[in-house]
Amino acid sequence: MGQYLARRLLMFVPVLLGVSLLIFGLMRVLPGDVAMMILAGNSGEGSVSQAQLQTLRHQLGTDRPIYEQYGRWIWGLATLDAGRSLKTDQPVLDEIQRRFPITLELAVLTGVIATIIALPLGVVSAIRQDTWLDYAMRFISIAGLAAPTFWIGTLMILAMVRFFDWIPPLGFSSVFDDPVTNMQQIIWPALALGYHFVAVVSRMTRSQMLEVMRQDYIRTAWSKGLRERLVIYRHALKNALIPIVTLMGIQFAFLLGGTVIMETIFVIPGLGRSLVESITYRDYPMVQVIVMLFALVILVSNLLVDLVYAWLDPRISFQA
Amino acid sequence: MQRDTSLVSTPSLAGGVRAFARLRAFVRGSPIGAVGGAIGLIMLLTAILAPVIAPQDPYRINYDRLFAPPGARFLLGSDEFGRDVLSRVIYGARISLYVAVLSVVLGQAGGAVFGIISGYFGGRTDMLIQRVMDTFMSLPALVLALAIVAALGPSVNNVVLAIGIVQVPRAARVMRSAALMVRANQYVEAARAVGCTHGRVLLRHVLPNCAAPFIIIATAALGIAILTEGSLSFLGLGTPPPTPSWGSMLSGAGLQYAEKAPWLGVFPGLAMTMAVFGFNLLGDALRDAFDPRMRQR
Repeated sequence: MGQYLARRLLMFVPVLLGVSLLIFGLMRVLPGDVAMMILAGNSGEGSVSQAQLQTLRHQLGTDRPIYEQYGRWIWGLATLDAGRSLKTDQPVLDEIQRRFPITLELAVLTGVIATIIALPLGVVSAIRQDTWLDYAMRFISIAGLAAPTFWIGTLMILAMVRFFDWIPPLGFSSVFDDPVTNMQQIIWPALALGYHFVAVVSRMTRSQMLEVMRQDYIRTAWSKGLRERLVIYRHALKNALIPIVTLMGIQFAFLLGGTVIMETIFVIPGLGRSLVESITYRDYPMVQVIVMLFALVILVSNLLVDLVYAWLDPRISFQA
Repeated sequence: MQRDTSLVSTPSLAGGVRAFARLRAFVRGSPIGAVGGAIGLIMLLTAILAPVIAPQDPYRINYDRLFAPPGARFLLGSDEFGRDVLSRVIYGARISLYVAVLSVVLGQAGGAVFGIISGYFGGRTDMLIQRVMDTFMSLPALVLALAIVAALGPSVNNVVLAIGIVQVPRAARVMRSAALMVRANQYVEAARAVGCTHGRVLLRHVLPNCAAPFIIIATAALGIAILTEGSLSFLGLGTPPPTPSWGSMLSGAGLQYAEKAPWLGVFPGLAMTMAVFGFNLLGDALRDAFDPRMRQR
């Protein structure tokens, strides 16, 4: 187990290096000279002298060869120094440290709520197949697959303003400072974002459960006279879970992308909103680190999915 | 831009009696798929015929009629510049469909090329391609698309490119497993034995036999492409204004004037949901028809 973990963690390195090359490359294709942009601001390019440009380029390091810039950046990341934001001139990692927990909270809360809703929905829909309950649930799920998350979020705000004359409190507060306000702010984006997850996962749960419920061992469990709850949850659901967990892993990546949108709509100061702002401002040190973090979170979630497999199915071992 | 949309041609239904019979069989065999196909067709016609259908010029500004609620003159109301929402929603179908179809063709074809090469040759080629795909897959699609659009600059064709690239890894994975299965067939071995080159085997034997999974995943990808275009435009990094796009219609005005003009936030999203809904139904029906093993009850 320990060896398996070590090997998996080691496998992170090439993928992260790949991502770093990808994002570093993309940020160097960005049209326009960053130094020029910072100096000129709104006053136009004519007001900038060559000497000023040279000095700033030197400060930013953009006058060095590309491979040297890349090497410095990677070395910086390895030593936990990702440079300064071009926008705020603060160390990038300070800002990330503030924002990352917020995005993680949103993503994890969304995942947890959605899973709690999706699994029972799928199970109920399967054991009550072709009843109105099943049809209602399938409609909800098909609608959730089609409705864009940003529209759900927009409708949510619209409904709050229109029918309840209420919006989530302004000025974000963290869970640790003020958990109540924090919940009022973060539960709505979590619900809006979770809808798609619920739709996908409950659909899969339904079809998997239908598959498993026809197996011989389920008939055996029934004929042994086991209680319904035991048959369904212990015998059927647990065996149906592996493909569902796989799908949940894939959906988590999607959900993480969705935080970008939700944070923008609901004005939550997480990584996603910062990503959009940094892209607009061409704050490339910031963009690069945020993208790397997203990749890291997905790698970790993939690893967790694989660990859950082994817990669900003892036949899967980590020796191979 | 508007001329480009006409590149998306209507699929010819007039392929003689046989094509019609096949269509009828499909409609009878899978009514849900037919509904999906009909929605797709309606969207296609809306996009092509936008100038004919739209009651007003989607760009015309009416300063005397800002935020007009839905009524006789503006069926779905007017926006913050007094532009007709209905006409903008109708024209929005153009961008949405243009980006979706083109990016799917680009992305799925790219994925198919990498996937089939990867599955057919195996070994080190396979290894290399799969590691590159892993790298792309370790980012949320939306984040990758954002980064690509940021690098290339916001324009409709760059959005097509970004959404296309984002689709490549998943398509490659599916097509790789399809190619692996095809490769195991004896006719591939036979073709090699009679002296066909790798290129000929790939083109004439492997590719046609991978067509079914390709059509299935490409159709399913249409809906996702529409959603991604919407998300990018919503974040202000997709279709640049003033071109009417469902995503950007929602982002600025839809949210900002939620209280004053709720119709701004409702109709573009509804149109998008319907479009994605249609393509999803069509994708499910095609999957059931071509691949009974993947059928969902």
